[in-house]
Amino acid sequence: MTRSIHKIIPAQKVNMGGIILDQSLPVNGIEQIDPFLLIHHWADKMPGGQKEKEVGVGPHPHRGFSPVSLIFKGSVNHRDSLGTKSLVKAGGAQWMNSGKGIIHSERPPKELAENGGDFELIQFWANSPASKKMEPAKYQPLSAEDTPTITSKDGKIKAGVVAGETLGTTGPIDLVTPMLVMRFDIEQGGEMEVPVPENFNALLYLLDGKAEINGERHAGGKDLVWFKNDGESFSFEGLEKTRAILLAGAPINEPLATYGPFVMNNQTQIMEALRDYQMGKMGVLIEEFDS
Amino acid sequence: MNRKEFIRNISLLGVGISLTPLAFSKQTKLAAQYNLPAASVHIPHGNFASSDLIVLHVSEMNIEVTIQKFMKNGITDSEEDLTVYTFHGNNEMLSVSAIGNALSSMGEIQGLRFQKVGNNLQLSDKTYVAHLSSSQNTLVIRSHSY
Repeated sequence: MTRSIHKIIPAQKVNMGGIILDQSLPVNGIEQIDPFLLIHHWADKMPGGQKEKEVGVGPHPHRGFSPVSLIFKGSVNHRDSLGTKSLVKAGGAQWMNSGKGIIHSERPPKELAENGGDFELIQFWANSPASKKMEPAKYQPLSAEDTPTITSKDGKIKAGVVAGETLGTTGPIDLVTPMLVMRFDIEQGGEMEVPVPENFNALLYLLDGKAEINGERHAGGKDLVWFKNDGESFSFEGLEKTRAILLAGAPINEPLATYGPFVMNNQTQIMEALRDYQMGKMGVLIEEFDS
Repeated sequence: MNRKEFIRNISLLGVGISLTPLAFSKQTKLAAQYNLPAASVHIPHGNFASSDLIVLHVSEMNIEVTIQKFMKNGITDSEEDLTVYTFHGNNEMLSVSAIGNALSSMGEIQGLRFQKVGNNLQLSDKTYVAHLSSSQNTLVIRSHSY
């Protein structure tokens, strides 16, 4: 049985510390769609003439969830308090389980800052259950080449499986909770049916283009399609060239206290997170730049 | 430490913090009042920190007060935002969190007593008492006796 559509949510423009981006979640009284807490779509044209340290998002802490970035244009320099320094290019992803604490930065690399160019990523936050929130932090980069790809029967859709399993293909990311995360490049007229476990909350976000979902409703660029949990698959057809991602996951069903960069179960744990950050228990990140 | 020493030893670092004139009440004597600095330095994802640092010298120790604000929705101000006041002193730490008038605290600094009084947090030693009012964003210090 096909999942029916619960809602189509248009993204809202928000200003995150001077960075203008499209936010699909949280939005209009919807705090989360368990386990997904936040979806940010950041598309920018870098003007050039800048230094790396002047662009992107500087060092900041996280605890209690996984901030995940899917890169679509340009590339991202990731640095963290585990000592990781990683460059993830277009088509790749970085999956960071913040666990009990990590400090990281995400910036367009030096070449992009200096020479300018297109830059586009989606960052989403996936919550962790209480039993996993205080595990050691873990960073997993994934390149486009290492992302398993499924091609639709009509050859018009390429689907990358970043995490989870569907259609006999499994993504390489080591997950905290059961999830299915995919990215789609859809040509006009391309059709595909995607199985998703019925208990997973499922969201399809369109970066651009236009698609017909389940043969019934149209969704456009920057729309978030939220499916009901009443079936085991959904289908879509590209009405024009379209890029999309699927975020699907088993709900955690726990109390939620999300404040700033920390996602815990209650306010006391938020204070503990801040204390641990201030006491250096999440490590230290000192960024080094070439210039 | 007598009252004069206490007042003399209160030091302020930063800009935008005002010290009101001393005043008197029936129960206690107002020693100093601080308008707490706003948490205005943006750390990503709706976390803001004060750039100014208040340093109090109480009970022969320096107590640093830092302020962090966390936006509930990560982007815009709301009544559900969380403000955390952190007191560091004597290698110990007390954290006070506030959502509106609802205060809760964690930790302790030896030699000082902390307790909730109504919507305020009270910090006291033998001679002096400080009230933190999150709703008015002030730190008021009074002496117990004249």
